[in-house]
Amino acid sequence: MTSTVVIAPLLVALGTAILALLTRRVPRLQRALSVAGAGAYVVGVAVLVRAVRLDPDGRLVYRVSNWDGPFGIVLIADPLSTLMLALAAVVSLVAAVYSVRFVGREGQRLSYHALYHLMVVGVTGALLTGDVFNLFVWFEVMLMSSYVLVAFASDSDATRAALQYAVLNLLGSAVMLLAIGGLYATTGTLNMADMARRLADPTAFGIDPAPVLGLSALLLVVFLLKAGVMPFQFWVPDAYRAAPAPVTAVLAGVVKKVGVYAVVRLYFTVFAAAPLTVSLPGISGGPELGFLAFFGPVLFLMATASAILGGLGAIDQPDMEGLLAYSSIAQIGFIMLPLAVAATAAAPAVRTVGIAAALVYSVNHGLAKSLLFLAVGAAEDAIGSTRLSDLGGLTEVAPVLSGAFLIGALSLVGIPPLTGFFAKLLVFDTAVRAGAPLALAVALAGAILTIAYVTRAWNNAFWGSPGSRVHAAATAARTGRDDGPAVADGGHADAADDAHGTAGDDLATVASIADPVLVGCTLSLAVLLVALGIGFDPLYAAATDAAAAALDTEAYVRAVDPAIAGDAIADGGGTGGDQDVAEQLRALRGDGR
Amino acid sequence: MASEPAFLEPVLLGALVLSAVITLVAGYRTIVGPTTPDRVVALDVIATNVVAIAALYAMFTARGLYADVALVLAIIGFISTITVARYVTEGDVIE
Amino acid sequence: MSEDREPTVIVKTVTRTVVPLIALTAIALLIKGHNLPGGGFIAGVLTTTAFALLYVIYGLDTVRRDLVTNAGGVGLLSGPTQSYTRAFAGGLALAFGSGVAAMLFDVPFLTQAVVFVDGIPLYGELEFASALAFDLGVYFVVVGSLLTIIAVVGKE
Repeated sequence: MTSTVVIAPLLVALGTAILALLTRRVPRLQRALSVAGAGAYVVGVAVLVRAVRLDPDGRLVYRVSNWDGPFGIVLIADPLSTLMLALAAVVSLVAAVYSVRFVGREGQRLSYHALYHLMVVGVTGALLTGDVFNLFVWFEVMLMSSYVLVAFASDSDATRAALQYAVLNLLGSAVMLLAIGGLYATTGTLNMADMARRLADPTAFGIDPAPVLGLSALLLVVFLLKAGVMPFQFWVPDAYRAAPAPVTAVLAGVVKKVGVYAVVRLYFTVFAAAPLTVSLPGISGGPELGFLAFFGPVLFLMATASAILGGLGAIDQPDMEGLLAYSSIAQIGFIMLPLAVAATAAAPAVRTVGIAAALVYSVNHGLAKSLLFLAVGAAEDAIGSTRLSDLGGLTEVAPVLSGAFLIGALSLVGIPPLTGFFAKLLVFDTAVRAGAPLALAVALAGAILTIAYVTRAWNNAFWGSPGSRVHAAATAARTGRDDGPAVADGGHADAADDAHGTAGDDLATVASIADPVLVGCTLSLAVLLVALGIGFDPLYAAATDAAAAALDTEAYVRAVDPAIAGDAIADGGGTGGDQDVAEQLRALRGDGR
Repeated sequence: MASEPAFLEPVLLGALVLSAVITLVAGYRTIVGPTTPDRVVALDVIATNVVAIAALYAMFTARGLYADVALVLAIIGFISTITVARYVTEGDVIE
Repeated sequence: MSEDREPTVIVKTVTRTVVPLIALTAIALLIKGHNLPGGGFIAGVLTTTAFALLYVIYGLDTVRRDLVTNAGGVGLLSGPTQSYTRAFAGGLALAFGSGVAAMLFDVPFLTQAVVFVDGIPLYGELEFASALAFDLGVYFVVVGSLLTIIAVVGKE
């Protein structure tokens, strides 16, 4: 049955982007539309989540342009995609409100909001699509706007970072297109459900599974590049430093998770169906493991490298944004670790727990890291620097902001009752259940490193005596010249000299140097982290549902087209029929582009 | 297609091979050089030959689709040659 | 660079002949695009190349003065980029609208319909496909964005 609810978030985000583009000359209206659109997006996602929950199958399918099954493009909403969509909706709403205040007047006119919402469109499409080529298209939509947003500051650093980011991702896209083309040539379909069905019975369709393994490995490289896992992490720090804070929050909180989602969806739902036994030295992949026996160890090595090296890198960063960027690399290791364990574990229960752990950790990291980037952005807005040597004593001048930051940081570390505690607990639980002492050791080491860099950030930036720039900003705020970094940049040297002697007790009279709207945004995420931690059950249930949905290939195939499962025999896998299908499909695609 | 003469197919094949070889030779000239005008002329030859290949292939497969391809390629090749020529003579593309 | 920056009469004359031909090809590809190779994207690219040729031969200022400004006064605001950006936004809205319009008829997003009109003098059967609206939207998006890039980069 077709349900319009599925496409609603996509249309809302796209409509908002277009409206924002059309109202560029009326900045006030544009900003209002942007925030209203982000709000409507949250409502759309909420309705979709409810609809999926109420659906007896737990899967809603939408056939774009009324074309059926493997030829047309289908959108599928199941517990896995709706969980990710909910995360995207929350983060993008908070970041949209934050942007209105944070991005400068000139920047607002330069189609910031249109680009921002186009990025959300790309994320939504990538999470909903049930077609591999369409996934590529949505990735491109998402990346194209993010290129511009990374370069938004337009100084030499931002341009260099954006160039590096764009070139790397274009390379990734080329590899992705190559892999998708290869998959189409080998399996004869682009529809994920159809592909899963064909891979489940390779001989009936005349598919050789061996090239599929290589092609899916190529595809994995692309997803891990987008997710910023260790050997493909080098674009992360520069891009996150260069992009404006709300964009960084969405990049780290949502866009990265789309890579994680793609790994779960394609490898655990689609490719896991192929009964290919892989034999590598030291790994015994039985038929029940299939493809995943090959990807498990690879993912494990990458996750280990990310968690350990990312953590070590974070300890040594001179500025907050770099620290948080390296921390993102380390945390993505924590997300990949249970996935790796789940891939090598044959028992379905362990697999479910592993994927659920990865998803809960994704939600935790998405919220906490967005919060931290937004908090650092608010501090930068007030002080004009994020270098640890310039900061210090922020608890005195911005108590609420510091509190929000502390909650986010503690959630990263994993202190109860925050969401992060349960996320870490589930990661450990997965390792214990699977009997993987090595994974447990890595998780422990990563956790210790997390404590180390979070402590360093907190001690240097928030405790201790206020740095010179903090003084300058506080003095400026006290004398009513509260126009942010411009004052702090230009006049901090002499202001600091004047203020240094007496400011110690004067600072107490300043309520907060940070902008209240920005602080409010960060605070709302902090409240959410606490709430989700205290009332953890719904999130856990949603994550378990999502994991079960990700592993249930058969139900996925059935939901996309009940007829597909039936005509497996009728089709017979004749190559002549596939040729016709290929022609039709090509004609369809040519029309759309 | 019944009325087409028997020698059409070998002739088309021969022409395709010839165009492909010329493209390769022009590619050598593009790389070796030695001056910029040489390279420009070689690139123009490549563009013309790709158009020829598309047109020959359209006749070979009897599908009008490739005629469109040839047309678009010819337009783009023409404009790129003019642009490069302007760059070589003026040192500036758009003033 | 050289003392004579003016392009030769030959190239100017050729340009004057070729640009309408390119535009004609572009329109042909646009109109047949919904069920034959072609479509909004390639038509947009061809139109842009026609503009690029004009820019190269006649220069940025001439094109702005003679073409964009005189075409309905849209160029008056702040040069050609303004109208190009409008083409981009309008095209996006048109493509989006053509998709949403389908939903008003209670069929999924982007569903297309086609109507054949018979008995037109001299022409015979005429085909009206709703896919043309989407293609037109794509066309304007491509023309708007590529021309913005050419105009901005060319100015540097």
